[in-house]
Amino acid sequence: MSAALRRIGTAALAAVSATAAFLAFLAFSHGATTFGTLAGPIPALDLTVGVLPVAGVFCALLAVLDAALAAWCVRRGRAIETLLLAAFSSAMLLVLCAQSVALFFFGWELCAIVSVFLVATHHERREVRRAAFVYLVFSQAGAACVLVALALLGAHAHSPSFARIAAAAASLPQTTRYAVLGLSLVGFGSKAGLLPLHFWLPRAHPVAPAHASALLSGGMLQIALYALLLVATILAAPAGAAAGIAFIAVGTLTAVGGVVYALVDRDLKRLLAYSSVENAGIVTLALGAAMLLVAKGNPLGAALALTAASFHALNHGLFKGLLFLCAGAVADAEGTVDLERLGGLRRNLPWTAAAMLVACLAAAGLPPLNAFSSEWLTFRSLLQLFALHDEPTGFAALGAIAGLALAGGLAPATFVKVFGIAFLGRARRAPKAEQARERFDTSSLATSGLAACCVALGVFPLVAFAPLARVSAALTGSAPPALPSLPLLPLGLVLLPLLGAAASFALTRSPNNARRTATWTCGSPVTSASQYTSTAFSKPLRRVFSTVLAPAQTRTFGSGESPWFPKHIEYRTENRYLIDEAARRLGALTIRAARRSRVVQSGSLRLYLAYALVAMIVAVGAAAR
Amino acid sequence: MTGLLQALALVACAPLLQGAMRSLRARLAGRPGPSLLQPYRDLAKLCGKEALLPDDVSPLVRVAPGIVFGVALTFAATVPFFAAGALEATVDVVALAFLLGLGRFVLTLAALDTRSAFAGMAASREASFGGLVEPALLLALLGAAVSGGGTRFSALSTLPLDAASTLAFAAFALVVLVETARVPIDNQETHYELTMIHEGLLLEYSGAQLALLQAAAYVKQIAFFAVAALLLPGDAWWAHAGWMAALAIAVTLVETALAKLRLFEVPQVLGAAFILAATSIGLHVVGGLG
Amino acid sequence: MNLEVAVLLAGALLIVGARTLYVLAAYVVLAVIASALIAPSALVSPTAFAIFALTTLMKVIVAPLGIVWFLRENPPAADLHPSLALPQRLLLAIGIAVAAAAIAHVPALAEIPLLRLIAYVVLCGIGMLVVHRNLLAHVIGLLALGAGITLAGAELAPQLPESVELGATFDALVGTFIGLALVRAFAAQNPMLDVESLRKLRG
Repeated sequence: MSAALRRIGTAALAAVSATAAFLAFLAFSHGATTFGTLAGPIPALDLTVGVLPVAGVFCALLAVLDAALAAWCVRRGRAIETLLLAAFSSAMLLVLCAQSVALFFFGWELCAIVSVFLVATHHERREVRRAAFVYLVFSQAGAACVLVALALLGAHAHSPSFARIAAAAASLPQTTRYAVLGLSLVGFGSKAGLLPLHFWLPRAHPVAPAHASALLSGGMLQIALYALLLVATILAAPAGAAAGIAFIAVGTLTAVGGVVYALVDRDLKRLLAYSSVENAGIVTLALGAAMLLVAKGNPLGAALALTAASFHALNHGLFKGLLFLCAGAVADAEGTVDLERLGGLRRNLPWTAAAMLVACLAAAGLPPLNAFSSEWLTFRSLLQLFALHDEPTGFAALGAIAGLALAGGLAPATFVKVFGIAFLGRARRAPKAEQARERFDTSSLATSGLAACCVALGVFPLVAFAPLARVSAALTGSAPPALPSLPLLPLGLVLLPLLGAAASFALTRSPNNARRTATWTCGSPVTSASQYTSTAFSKPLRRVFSTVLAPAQTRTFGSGESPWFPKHIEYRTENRYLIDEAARRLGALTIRAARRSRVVQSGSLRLYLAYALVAMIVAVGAAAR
Repeated sequence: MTGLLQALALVACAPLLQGAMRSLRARLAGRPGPSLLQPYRDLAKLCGKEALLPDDVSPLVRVAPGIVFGVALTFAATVPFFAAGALEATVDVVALAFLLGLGRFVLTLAALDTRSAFAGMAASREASFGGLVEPALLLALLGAAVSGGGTRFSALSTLPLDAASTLAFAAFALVVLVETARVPIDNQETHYELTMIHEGLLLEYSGAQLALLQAAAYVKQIAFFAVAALLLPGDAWWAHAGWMAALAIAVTLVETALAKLRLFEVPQVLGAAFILAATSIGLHVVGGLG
Repeated sequence: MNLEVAVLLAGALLIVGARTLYVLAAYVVLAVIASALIAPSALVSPTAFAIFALTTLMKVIVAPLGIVWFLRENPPAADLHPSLALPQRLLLAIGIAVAAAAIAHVPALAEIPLLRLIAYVVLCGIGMLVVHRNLLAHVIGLLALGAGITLAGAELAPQLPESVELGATFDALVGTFIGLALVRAFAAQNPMLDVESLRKLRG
């Protein structure tokens, strides 16, 4: 039975992937296409299906991710998870091809509900239920904001269709525009993981199964960023300089905050969740730069910034999906994703290790992989802001460049830890049983395929840059930006290092050239205890950022006969998440206020009748005015 | 063609610069010191020695020295000295910072793979401080780029001499001290495990691989000095050479006069460089209005 | 222009410096510049000039020499033990420069000449008192504060040079002699002159 369900789920994933690929092809070749409208009982509930060029980018991403997941689920995961993944992907595709308010909101809520089920797959554990509950609360609160924003847009344009809303966007009154943008930032931003509404992400990802996290972080987060882009550049365009600066500020804060928390984490999945937060911040930053450039009259520069934003979203989806799939392979093989207990995984999981190396290089933003090109493009688009010679713009650009430089510098430190501690060296705890070496099956095909996509986009960035430039140019109404140095850039950077790598490899090829000997540890035998652990590795940076991280440290000395010779020392350090604590206090305050207000519901019939009488008097009095 | 010759000239003179700085440091300390050509002899000696590798390591350990040397060569091929660099049209300031990060990434991974505690310690420090120096480097060079108009290295030499470019140069000077592993940040002549940062990553390498890593460090050093000379006034090649010599003497004087900082004070220096570079950009933003 | 740059760098060194000698050198530069700026207004009458010469002697020569002599006797006091790390001190110095520039733009105060300089020197003096824990740094900070306020007095009341100079003299007297006497008494208990140890006096 479950085999049949799994086959159905895998086939459904493949079908969604094919549909998404077809839609992406349509969007790029034919431009904005509308397939048709299903009239609803009232005009506001019309369902219009179509695809915009900018949605085509995200359809392409979804197609690749779904193909990889279909290959992955042939052998791994449970059947029910496969079915839920297929449903989730179709819901995301629905959001991408929604061209009316009702269909968009229906798709958005469907995504939220299905993904809550995905997160709560292991619901027998308490922390899973709590994480799923927090996720549900955030999705619904965000969805309420989204509904109000879309309703405001539809009310102004007197039509639910996105095409009419886009046409009426230029005449939006300023307060409505700011309200729409603010509500979208809250609603879509909390789904994308922007600070300070991000903290459901690091709770939901560690408890969800890894391939579900792959689609959540690789797919849903990007869809939320697509929605932000849609509102900022089409539905409420032109957004204005103040909104651009607000987006830049939120994006910078998110990028730096995400990477600082990722640096010090020992749970691989939570680390990847914080890295997703960082990358969502980078995309929002580029989007804010585009909005600011449009407002200051530089549409060509804005097209470059939008290209950088969509390119980075695409790249992030690819490498984050790959990272989570590799984490899933590790979890299946070792039963844990705690970096303190992992080590030397490259021996038993060679294919996962190779894919993970590509993914870590991509996540660190290093050439010649894809995230390098998009971060480089983001820097170039931010530099254009200085040419505007405007003080608020200049300071916003300064903050953005400083934050982006900091995030771009700290990301490699994070992913060195991930790959170096988990996959290199030797195991840090005794293996449970004799483990078989990983064979090349469909799940390895999935990770290798995603890795190949990352490398291909990295070495040939023009493949993605040219179509994205055209799409962004259409959004800002300018010519497509051209960067002559981009095609050769990754190859030019790594040509000499690759040649050097080959030479160095050849130099140590034979035992005559390089004799093997034990590592020098001052004469004592080399054990796994001589390796660095993940907490020790991140200690210097935890110390540097201790004002933000505020780690709680306790030291206990168990003394024997003399206090100078303790028998037993325990040192415990725990990361504190200040935003989580603030939110928890706010939640406790809300619950206390709700309990106090329960006194209104006393249960007495006569009191309720009195309420009704007072309400009637007030209503009659207000109507009589 | 001239770019290629220039890159080869920089690579060939790199050990000479290191030898000169080492001799001067020894003289200032009252010792006669090694000859100026000693680094060449050291490299030749290392190439002839037997290479030892730790057993049971991944291919990353074998490949890392070549990658680091390739990164240094690319850096040398990008900086202008008497002509534009060979790769100058392709590689700009931002790309260079990420490229240096690639070299650091691979070397740190190789150190973690050897299972050595010293290498692990050095890897942790190099990754952490590298994570802080790369933003400072990027901001310092971007500060210069924003005033000069363009992120190409050739645009850096057309800077006006004002407060913003002075602050950018000050920040870049601090970054050079960190990247070339000089006192007061790191000591190239120490092998005490508790004080090593860059040296610790090289501990498990020997023979031709160690020669590659040391040559890479020398080439990176001369390339950094060439970029610093770019930020100072004067366009002709002899002005650049003069500034590089002055910088080498200044760095050696600083090395002799100061003691090595405590390890956890190094991020303070990097934070100060970051702030100086950000202030330089801020001054440009404010001054751009006239 | 060059004067402003010199004052900027000297004031920044007052806050950022971590060794007493560097901070003392910065203070001497500030005191010399302040005296040079006050000198034209003090040359009007012989009494004013006499008091001005006395004040300058005390501020520029006697006080620094006293501090140097004290450091010779008490080497642990050569380290200032700032309570903020270097990046935060640098940010504070930049913030003070920005604040001084902002004060100079306030329309009600715009007629006062050299306002930017005066505000900067005064704020740097106060900043020193907040940042450094060494009592010597507090003495130098008070002297720098005095230099700034004397300059303000000379600019605000150019017709009363004698009063300004008398005020400056008292300032210098307090800073130099009484300050050093206090420092000597304090050093008997705490060679590092850490003002945080004054917390023990709390009841």
